[in-house]
Amino acid sequence: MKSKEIKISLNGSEASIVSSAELVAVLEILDSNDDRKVLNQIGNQLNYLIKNGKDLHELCVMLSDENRIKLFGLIKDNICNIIGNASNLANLLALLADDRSEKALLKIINTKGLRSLIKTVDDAAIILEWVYDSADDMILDMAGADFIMDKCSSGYDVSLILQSLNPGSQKKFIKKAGENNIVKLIHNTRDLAYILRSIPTVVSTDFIKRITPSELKRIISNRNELTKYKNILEVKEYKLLTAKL
Amino acid sequence: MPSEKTTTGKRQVKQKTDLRRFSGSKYKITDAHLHVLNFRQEMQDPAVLLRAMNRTGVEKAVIFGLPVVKIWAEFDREAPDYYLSSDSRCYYYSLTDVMVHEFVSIMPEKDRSRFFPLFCGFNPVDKFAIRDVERIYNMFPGFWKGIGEILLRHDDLTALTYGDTPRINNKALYPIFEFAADKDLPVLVHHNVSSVANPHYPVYLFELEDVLRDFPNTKFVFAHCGISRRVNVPFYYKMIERLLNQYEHLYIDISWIILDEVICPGVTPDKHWVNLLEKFSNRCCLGSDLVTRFERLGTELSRYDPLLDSLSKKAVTDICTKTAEIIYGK
Repeated sequence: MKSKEIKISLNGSEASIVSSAELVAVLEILDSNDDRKVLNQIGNQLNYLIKNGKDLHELCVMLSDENRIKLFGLIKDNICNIIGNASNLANLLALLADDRSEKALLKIINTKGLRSLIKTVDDAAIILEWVYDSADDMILDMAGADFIMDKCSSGYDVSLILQSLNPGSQKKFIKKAGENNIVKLIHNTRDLAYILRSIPTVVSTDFIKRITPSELKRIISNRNELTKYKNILEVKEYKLLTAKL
Repeated sequence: MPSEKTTTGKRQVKQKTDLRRFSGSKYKITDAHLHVLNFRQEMQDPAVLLRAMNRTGVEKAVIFGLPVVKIWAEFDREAPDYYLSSDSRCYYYSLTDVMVHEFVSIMPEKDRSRFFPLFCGFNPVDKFAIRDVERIYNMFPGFWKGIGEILLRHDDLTALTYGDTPRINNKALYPIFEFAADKDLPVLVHHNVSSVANPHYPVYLFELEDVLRDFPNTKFVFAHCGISRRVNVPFYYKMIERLLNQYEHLYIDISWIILDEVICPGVTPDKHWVNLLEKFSNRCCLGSDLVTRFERLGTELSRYDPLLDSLSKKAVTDICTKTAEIIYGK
């Protein structure tokens, strides 16, 4: 095995590592106050050690929030290549939990990086699933509502995005994406039902009110169709819909 | 056995930095308990293990796969990588032994003699298991140095594995124990002495004793002394001492959580255990119980230093290398 050895030195002792897994093993035996010293010693060579999203995740498990932010900074030029895909990014965001480190990571990834990781609507949904509150908005702002809408081909797809957002962000997303654009993607009763169920009644009733009767008739071909989905609709929603048909 | 994701002991937020631990124990050790395949039956590059062994001064290792494989269930979004990663079940997986053979075969020839390979890929509750044992033994003549780690009573893993509850006194295993005696193969067994809800009483000890009584010519190695997560009966050292006194063909391995939970729960090792290990050093060996993740070899083995520091030179030599050589080195 020919691998580049990277030396770490602390309190008069030395260790040579060749992989991220070895760095994790070293971190296990450190006073956590020394983690930063090790990160500083390795510096940009972390780009050589950390090969993929799994490596990065395992390192983050070992580090404090402050040191995670430091780590992201050290690998910033290569971070999207390392993370590799939306699922790995979602796993990282789920681990971070702390708002500051989540935002630091997203800032380093930036719009271009985030868009490169989001290839499908499922990718966008799984990333949004693991952030909360203002980080939801941050991702929506970075990726852009138009970009996310381009990944959606049905109302069901839109529902996957909406169900991963908090109510405040849902309203913002609906506004930015444009209600008309969303309605155009609603092809049938199922699409509509899933959109309504992905948002709370306080948001859904407003949404229903803005659908024109003609659009609603296009979506719901007959009342029997609506009855099929009655069990996943709120009473208030069902009444509003039947009144409009 | 330790999770692949976490250390055996939790990371101490405030612990003294000792980078030397990455290079392993200050004692020369034969790692007598090392899984070279994980619960996905994935194999790391043997070069990673050799690098770790060279760094940590581990001259030899007793290696084996895992008799079960974890299912990636339809409900699992992500592939599980440990038996506790999800609620999906496990099933017996014979290919594990062929992969252990492969693991040794692809390493440089000069290093192959550093390993004592064991086989374990059979269903311990299937009376056909002896057929599988004979088959794998004969498939690679002269290769195997023992049988194990057979996973028998193992709390959550038992519950997650398809089939009858595996236990050491299941009659399906009896012809295997006879075979082991006939071929002079030691048998490494994981058999919890108790259940999770019975920390006051070793409810499954009698099952082990049934077998120890009925197979006096079979060499048994009692992995982790029968301890498991949440399984720790009182007077453990007395129980182990009685077993070692009573059954001369019984050996123990100190591995996994027994050090942290029983032998050395605080800063200093329990004096009863020190006395016990001193007395029976020729019946005890040490293991990392790593499940792949060979990079962590130094971290795992250096945990034993406080215990080894409190033992005589002879006991250290026995426990660290000699006993393993006697058990598996034939």
